[in-house]
Amino acid sequence: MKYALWFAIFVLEGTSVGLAARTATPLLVGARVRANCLLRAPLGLDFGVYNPATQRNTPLDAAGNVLSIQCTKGSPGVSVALDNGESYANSHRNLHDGDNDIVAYEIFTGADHATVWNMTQTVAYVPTSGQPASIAMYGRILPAQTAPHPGRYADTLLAMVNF
Amino acid sequence: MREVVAGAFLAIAAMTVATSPAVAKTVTVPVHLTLTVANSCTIVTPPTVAGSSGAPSIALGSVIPDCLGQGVSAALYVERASLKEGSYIATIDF
Repeated sequence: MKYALWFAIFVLEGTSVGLAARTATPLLVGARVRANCLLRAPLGLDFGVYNPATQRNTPLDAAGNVLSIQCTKGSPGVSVALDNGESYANSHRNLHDGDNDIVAYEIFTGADHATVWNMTQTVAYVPTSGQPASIAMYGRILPAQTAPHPGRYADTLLAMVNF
Repeated sequence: MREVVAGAFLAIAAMTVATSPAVAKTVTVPVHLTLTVANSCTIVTPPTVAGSSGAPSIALGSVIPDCLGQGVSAALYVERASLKEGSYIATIDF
């Protein structure tokens, strides 16, 4: 039994037992940190109350840090696009009440309301820290449109972060 | 020998990961937008006096109730017998 134990140890340790030999072998270890992004829109954008009787000739604006984005630090070429929503017509996005009534609106990339935010005119994002950041959306109820019926209107856009 | 084999395996694995092409990705999230359209009316044109003699009632002028942007004309009449100089207030119930 005693000899069997020593034999087993010898087999497990291989030829190094008792030889005091050492071999240095270069070991190449590498890893790639892949770009990744998370996108959330927990609150959406509420335009509030619109009174066509008094407001239809002036735009009704609403803005907010609607999107929360978090990307791997240094991810290149990150951009956020918006689709045209559920009721796009007449070259505009539209809020709808479920009863064929619509209210035209748009989402812009900046507070100057100069550039419509869509699939081709996107918003670039540079993740310098890897921490969550907010991206603002600038919405506008377009002026001089046919007055809608009173009620609750809604639309859903798809926001896409490409990286 | 075991170290050499393991090292070669890791080197191959590392090279395989490093040379894999980057793939463009898209993450999508819905964004909800809401608006409440108020039920409201307002008088956009003040009545103006435009009386006509001889009629049983005198039209003081047109009142335009602008309800939800839909301008609707409505005339404001006062019985001739009760007409007095002064201000008359037009109201809209909705």
